[in-house]
Amino acid sequence: MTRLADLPLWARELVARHVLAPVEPRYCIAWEDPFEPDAPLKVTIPAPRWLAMALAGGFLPPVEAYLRDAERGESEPKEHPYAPPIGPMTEVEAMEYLVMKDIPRRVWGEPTNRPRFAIVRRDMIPADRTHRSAWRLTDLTTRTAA
Amino acid sequence: MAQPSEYNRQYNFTNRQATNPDDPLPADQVDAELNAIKVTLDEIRARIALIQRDDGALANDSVGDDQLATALEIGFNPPRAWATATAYVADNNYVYVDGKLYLCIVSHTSGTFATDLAADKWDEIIDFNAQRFLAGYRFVFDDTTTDGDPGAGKFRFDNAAVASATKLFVDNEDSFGRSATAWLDSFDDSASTVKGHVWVEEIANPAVYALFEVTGSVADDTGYRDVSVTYVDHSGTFVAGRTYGVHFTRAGDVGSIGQQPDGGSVDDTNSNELLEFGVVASAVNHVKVTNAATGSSPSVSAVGGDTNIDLVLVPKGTGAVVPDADGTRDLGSSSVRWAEVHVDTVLTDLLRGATTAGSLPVQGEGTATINLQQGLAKLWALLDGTGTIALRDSYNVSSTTDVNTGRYNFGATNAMANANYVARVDGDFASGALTDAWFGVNSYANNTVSSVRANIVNANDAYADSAYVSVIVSGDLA
Repeated sequence: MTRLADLPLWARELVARHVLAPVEPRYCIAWEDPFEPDAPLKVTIPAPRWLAMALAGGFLPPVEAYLRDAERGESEPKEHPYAPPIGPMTEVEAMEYLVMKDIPRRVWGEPTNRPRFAIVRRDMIPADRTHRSAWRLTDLTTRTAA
Repeated sequence: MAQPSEYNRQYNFTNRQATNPDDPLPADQVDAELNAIKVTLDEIRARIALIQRDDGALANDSVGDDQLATALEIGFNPPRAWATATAYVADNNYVYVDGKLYLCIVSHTSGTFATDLAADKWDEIIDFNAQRFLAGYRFVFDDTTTDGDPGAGKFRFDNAAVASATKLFVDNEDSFGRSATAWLDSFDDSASTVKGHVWVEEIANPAVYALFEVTGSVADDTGYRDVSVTYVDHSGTFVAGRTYGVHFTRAGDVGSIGQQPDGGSVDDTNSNELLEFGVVASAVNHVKVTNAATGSSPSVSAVGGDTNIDLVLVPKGTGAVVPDADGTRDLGSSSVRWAEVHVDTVLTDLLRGATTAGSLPVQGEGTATINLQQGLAKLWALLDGTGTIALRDSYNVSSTTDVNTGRYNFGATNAMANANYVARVDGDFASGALTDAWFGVNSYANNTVSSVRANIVNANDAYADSAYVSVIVSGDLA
């Protein structure tokens, strides 16, 4: 009998679709890219099915595998699809994992004179997108502080 | 049976005649006397018939030990098993004890046999124990253990310790000079694993013996036979120069299974079921198991009266039919290979190419094959890109990023092997009118191995948020 941990990551995702209910995220990552100083705030939200795997444990590889793969050349074999899965995470831990996985390292891994990202509740993100191009992290963090 | 009745006269005819000389004898008294005489005579005749045949000789079974005079001595009295508290008569009673025949030489009432024997009340006539190997082959023991001719009329073991012996080396002739080759060669005739038993016993001392199974062939060596044996039991010490009787008991051949009823079985050596047979009425098809020579494969076949018949393998309960018990061999391995398999439903955890693991050919519409992996969506998502964006559903998506109006990134849980993949992006009809159609565009410049960009524009060629942003990625997974 094949064990879940023996399957590659994409096959574990297929199993998760059948055994885990999606979990609607409560948090998101608001961030700005220093390479695009004029670009508006970006908002990254975990996929509900991904979050379900993170909270359940046994599906996702350690985030370090992604980070090492990012250092590898495009044609080199990647580690993360076949790395042994890790255990369950809390939702906050999952958000920190996602920062390192899906947000460029220059956003969270370099010294800066001001915050470039924040993990915030989703309901803090404006639902009105009329002025989407004007969203800034400072507006959001100021509102958070308030 | 009692003795015949005694006759006693009941009437005095003399006195009657004296007192009545002129009268005749009273007839009733005469009849009574004659009747009494007849009773006695008839009983005498019956008794004589018991002891005399019609030819005048004594009747059969009419004379026994009791009828013979004590002084009469002719041969042995019949021997009996010795018993305690029994009156034995000197020179008359014989008993068996431990295979020996004894004659009572002092009349006595028995107590303990050994005590009576020590007191010279019994005389040993013959020891039957020493006479048991009068028939059969006899060989003299040789205590050398090398593989070779033990010498005329001799035998030896291949080990000084009888319990460790695995060979018997037996001369072709026994100690009487009789040829034993045909007899020795028959030791391995049986088709059974254990072909028989060899019992070796010292003629003069039955307490020294050994028992072996014949478990191998008999080799015809120069002047002697080499018999492969397995030790079973022994007692005492074998002494060189002493004569031993050698007896062989052949095991039967392995029999055929014979006719089996429904539910009949073949058991293993622990009496556990090894095979069970199922029977249907008027069967015409059956299973054939064929062995194979070196380099060839044994087979299990469906055979019988029908021209085309399936071979059905039926697992029990939730069990499955697997090619190998260790579960590591697949249908494409060199050890298990089926040219064509017909199944209704395939339940498996993995489909993998046999020649190239990541390439699984699928028959196309014509004769050409296409690649299954290349036809699969490696990532897909449906996003509500309005308001606070939210994924409706997805596969292989870790997150979605609201980049700006009408621009979204989808992070891949399992990255792509390279950025040269195809991403199909689409928006939706906002109102049902073509002028309100939202078009999806993949921004290749923003694609990475772990992220794909979806841009949505409206009919006015401006970025626009869409409630149904769909993306499908085809290509190679990392």
